[in-house]
Amino acid sequence: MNISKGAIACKRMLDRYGLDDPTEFPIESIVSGVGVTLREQPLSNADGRIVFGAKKTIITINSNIEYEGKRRFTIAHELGHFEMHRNLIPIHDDTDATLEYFQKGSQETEANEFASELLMPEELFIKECQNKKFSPDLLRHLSNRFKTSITSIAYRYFNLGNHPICLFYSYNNKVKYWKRPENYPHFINDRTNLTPPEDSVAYEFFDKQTIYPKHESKQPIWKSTWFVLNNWENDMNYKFFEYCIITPKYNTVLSIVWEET
Amino acid sequence: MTSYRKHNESFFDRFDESYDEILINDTSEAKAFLVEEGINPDNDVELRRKLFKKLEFKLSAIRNKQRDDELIEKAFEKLKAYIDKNKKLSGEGLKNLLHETAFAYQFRNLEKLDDEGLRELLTEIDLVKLLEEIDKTEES
Repeated sequence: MNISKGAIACKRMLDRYGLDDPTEFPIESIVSGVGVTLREQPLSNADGRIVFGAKKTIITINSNIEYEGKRRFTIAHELGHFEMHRNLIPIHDDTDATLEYFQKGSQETEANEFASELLMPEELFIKECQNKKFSPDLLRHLSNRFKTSITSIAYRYFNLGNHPICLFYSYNNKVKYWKRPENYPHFINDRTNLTPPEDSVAYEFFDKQTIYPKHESKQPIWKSTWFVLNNWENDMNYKFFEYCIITPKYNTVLSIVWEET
Repeated sequence: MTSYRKHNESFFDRFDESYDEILINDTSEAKAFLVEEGINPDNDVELRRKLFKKLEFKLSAIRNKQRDDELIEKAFEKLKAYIDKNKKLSGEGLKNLLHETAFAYQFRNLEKLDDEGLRELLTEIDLVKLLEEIDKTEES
């Protein structure tokens, strides 16, 4: 896997300050340590904002962010802008759209990569996954370990985990994006901008607002639910599962789909 | 415990054999000696370097946080006047003020900001400027 520009910038920063394990430090102390002023207050239409002065820089985080994982990610994302873009963008607003993982704008992607590396350092993440079977419980464990949202853990696991998973992001009952690992042996039925498959767990949420409790969050599905089933294949021969991270407030579902052999 | 003691005995025994003279005068010999004893001196130096940087960073974080809190408290006293002034403006008036106040800044997605967002932005630009001013005054 190629190392991203954001991750390189983060590793450089950590090396500069001798931080082997940034998860030992509160994210707020890292911001203060690099010399940036951090404030929290209600913001309209933004999760975070960074304003660069000649000598001082202020990062303001929306104090109404409900989830600690999202709050930490927003701080780390803004810190990424500070480390990489401070000579390019004097003022910058970040909303859900720019903090979203599939975001393609290069500065936003870089800031997200930086935040991922800072909150879930590659080396520690891989070590934490070693000899552990993939499951929703593992994602929850990683989320507790790195104090980040399960959503950001899922994307990190997609890139660094030791079991291939596919991700489908749906919003308002429409599939918006999907990701499959390179060289994955199964091909996805492209349903971008269409409703999720009727036999998927994501569809159950949009259709009946079904949210499975933790102990049932791993749901068996058919291969044909999300993937192309070839003529010579039999759905009965595959063991696929779907685990949905649902955010009712935003009406979004992130489906994590994987095969067990 | 036995092997640990044995290991240490051999380590110190070798010093007793006047080997220390050679080690003091020849760094490479000293390094080789440590490696032979299972200690990587380069690694040790690297660890100490990192530890020092980490401690320095921790101290900076504490100092900067204290300084930021003091500066913000002072800046907010002065900022009230700006905030009150901004409250009286709306729409184009706010945008014009933003361009005047922060002519050196570029703006992204300005058109997407409502009046409240523009006021927040103005407050933050004013705050950065005030922090820099107060900092400069106190330094001189």
